[in-house]
Amino acid sequence: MENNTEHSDQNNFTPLTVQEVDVDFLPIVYEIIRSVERDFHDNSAKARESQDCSQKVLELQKKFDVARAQIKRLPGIDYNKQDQLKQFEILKTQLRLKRELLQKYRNMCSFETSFK
Amino acid sequence: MASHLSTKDRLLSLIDDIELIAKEIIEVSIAPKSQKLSAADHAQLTDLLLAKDVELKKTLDLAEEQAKIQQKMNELKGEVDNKDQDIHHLQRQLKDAEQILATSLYQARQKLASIVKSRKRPVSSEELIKFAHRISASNAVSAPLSWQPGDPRRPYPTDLEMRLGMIGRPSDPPVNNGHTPSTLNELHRSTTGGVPAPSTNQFTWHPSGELHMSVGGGNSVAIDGRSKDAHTQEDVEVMSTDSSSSSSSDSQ
Repeated sequence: MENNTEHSDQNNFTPLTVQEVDVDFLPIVYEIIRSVERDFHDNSAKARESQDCSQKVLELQKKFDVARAQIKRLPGIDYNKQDQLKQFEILKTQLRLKRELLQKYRNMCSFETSFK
Repeated sequence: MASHLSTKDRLLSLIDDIELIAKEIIEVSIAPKSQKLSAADHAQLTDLLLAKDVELKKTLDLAEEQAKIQQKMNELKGEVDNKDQDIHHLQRQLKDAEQILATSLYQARQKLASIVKSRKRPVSSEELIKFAHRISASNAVSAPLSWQPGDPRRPYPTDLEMRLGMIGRPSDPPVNNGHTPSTLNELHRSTTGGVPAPSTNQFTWHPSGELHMSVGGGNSVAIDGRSKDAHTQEDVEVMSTDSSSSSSSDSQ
């Protein structure tokens, strides 16, 4: 049990790629509607179809939940693209400034360390 | 409006929308014929569902782009962290250098101060040699080679010099250490009470290396009575007038 929770925790934090996210809801919706609208003469077939249908509804529900969980694991979508690009620029500027600072320190003057 | 939301929130709300629309469509399909929506409404719902699905796919594409940007950002962050470490390292080195420089500056200033001080009051080498000779002549540095127990010549301070010095002067009860009180008193008088004027004391330096000093009055007589050796007498004479002669040299 504990192992399961640990496993699920790990799953919740490992980043996913967009290709791994399953958002194909339409085929299941289509299947559900088709099975609802189908006419059956046989009662047993009707009952079986209705059972299948309810299972598909559950499956659809599960798919929605899984998709939500997967989206939460996608990296880099905590901001919209504009804000993200702003942050990207800020980081670039930071790196440039730090490089310049280091260069300034290095070119400032040379110390003779022989007396150490 | 959507631009203010984060991409994650947009994706989640799109899924919520799709879920709602899908449920609506399914409920409408199950509902009895009397409550069923018109074909146009149904088509509208379906179009909406399709539109939302398209939007979801587009937003997922955007999320993919953002994931790439995030990867670049992570690399940048790593580089920034590296530079941060470099800067800290350099700062620490600069701090060390500053400390070393501050110490050497302080020492250099002290040295400069002592140079200025020495320039203000120059001491001639002749004077120094004279003083060194005087000290060594009076056995202040080391006892003479022929020293024996009982010999009053010894490196400073002997009882005699102690009494003649500043510490011995104010109120020291005379201690009998084998010396006759009369000679000590007389000596004391000669330096404190009847101190001859510095002009009367004269050092004469001879190239032979001997120091001669003539003291005004018969003050040297007091030492005469204490020591029997003639050479010793001369030494002690020099020692007994040490304070006055050094003051005269200081005043130059």
